[in-house]
Amino acid sequence: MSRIMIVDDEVEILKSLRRLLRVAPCAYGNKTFNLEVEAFNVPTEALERARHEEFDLFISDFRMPGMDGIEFLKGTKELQPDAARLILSGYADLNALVRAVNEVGIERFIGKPWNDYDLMSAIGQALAHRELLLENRQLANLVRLEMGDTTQEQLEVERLEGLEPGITAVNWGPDGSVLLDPEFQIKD
Amino acid sequence: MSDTGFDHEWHLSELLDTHSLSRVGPALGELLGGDVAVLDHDETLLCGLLAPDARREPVILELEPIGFVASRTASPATLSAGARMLTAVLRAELRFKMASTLHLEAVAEDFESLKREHARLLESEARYRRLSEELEARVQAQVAELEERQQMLYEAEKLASVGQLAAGMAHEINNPLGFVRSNLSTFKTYLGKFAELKGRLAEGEVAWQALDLDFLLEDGDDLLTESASGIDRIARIVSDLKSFSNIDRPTDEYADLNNCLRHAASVMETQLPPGISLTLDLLPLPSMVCLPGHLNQLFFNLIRNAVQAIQDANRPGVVRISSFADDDGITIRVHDDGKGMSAEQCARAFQPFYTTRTVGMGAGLGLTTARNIVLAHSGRIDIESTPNVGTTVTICFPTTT
Repeated sequence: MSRIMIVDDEVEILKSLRRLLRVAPCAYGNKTFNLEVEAFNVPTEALERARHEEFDLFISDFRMPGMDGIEFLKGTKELQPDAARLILSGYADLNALVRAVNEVGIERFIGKPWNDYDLMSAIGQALAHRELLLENRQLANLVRLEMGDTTQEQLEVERLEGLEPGITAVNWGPDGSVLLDPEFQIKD
Repeated sequence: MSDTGFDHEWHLSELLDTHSLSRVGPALGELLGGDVAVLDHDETLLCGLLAPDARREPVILELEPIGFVASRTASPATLSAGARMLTAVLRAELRFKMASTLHLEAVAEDFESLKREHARLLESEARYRRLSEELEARVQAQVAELEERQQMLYEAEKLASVGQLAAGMAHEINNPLGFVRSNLSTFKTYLGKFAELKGRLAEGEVAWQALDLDFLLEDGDDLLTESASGIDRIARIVSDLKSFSNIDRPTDEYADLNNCLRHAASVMETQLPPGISLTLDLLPLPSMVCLPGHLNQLFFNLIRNAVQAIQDANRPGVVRISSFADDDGITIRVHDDGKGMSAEQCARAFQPFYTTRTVGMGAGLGLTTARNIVLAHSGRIDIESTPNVGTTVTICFPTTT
């Protein structure tokens, strides 16, 4: 089951995408993906959800009130670096495009109105690409383990880091304390 | 030495005209007591009778003899005295002639130089007149060119706002287009399921359940409703744009300015940045003869300025648009609680090309165009602003009675 999060400020867009993802087959090569979709029309709520749940793919509009698509996707990248990201927008401004590629590293930029087939194949491709990357990493780790380049502990650390970025690093304070929130400042 | 100047060689005939000769000749005859003749330097007889064997006595004023006195009877001494006498008379005459000629020459000279001066003046006057005509023609050509340039800039400004509109419109139209298109192709798959049911009619209720047709029916209905409303949205945007863009229709019409305000506001609403809202507070207005396209642009410019002022202040805000009519006419106000302007900026706000924005962000013609449109409708436009508090633009149109 592949988990997909869609964010757009227009409820009708979300509804039509839900329908599309429900009925259209999502396949790439000989792989077929079963999709589970969550849709949000407020980016901040979506980001909050991404803090607690893991997703394989994020699809976001660009122009949204409060937080634009690039800020949102950057947020998801910090939380879930391995997920794939797409932008689906009717506003193709070069600046936005450059930021989307450079700052987020999006997989695809799809214009509105979209073509259902293109969108589905982009989703399929993104999911397949992500799976391939993860599989590659896993295989590489196995090889490294066999060659003695890495240890079971190190792999476990990497796995945990993937689940919860930053969990394996300890922030030591100047007095030997452990800082849970490095941004926190003691007020006098 | 000229032949006519006061100092030329004078001839006797010049010095003694016939009248003088008729007096001097006989007198000389009396004095010499006998015949006498006065001859010119080339021996032409001027008066008296010349006897063939008469003695001649030259009359010398300077070096050369200018004439002769001749007599047969007079003694040489008497003749010489007569000649000397005539010389004295001639000297006096010469001085007088020279003086008068000199005087005439001087006067003539003055007159000549005056005439030359006059001719020069005439010439220079003609030159200046030509120059001024040429100058005027050049000024007019330049004024025409400037007007053309200005017109081009207004056109550019208009195009720029149309371009800005188009970007906002594209986004607005693409959203509904996106979901309508996707919904319709989804609906096609739904229909496919119903077609499938036809082949499984024998299974009855089971097939219906298996194909999940209850859901499809319900969702299909929602889908079509949503698509229809999406299409309505596109239609509304297009009609707004159409009524907005008849800027160049140069015909006067009876129009309700509230409609123009609503059009401009709804066009602007499609591109409102987050945190900024428009409120309309429109009281009934009498219809007015106007160019609705121009007024749409006027209101759009003002509302856009207001929105930008709030954006510049970097905080959420409201643009309030109000209208009312009283005995003085129609009053329209566009108020924002944005960045505001200093007194100096306020004073220059209507000047062409005055802008507080960076190069490329605005030509500085928005308010100039606005003022021109208001003036063309015999209206008045005022701007009041307080830095960091907000700006109010007030427009008054007199109602024709």
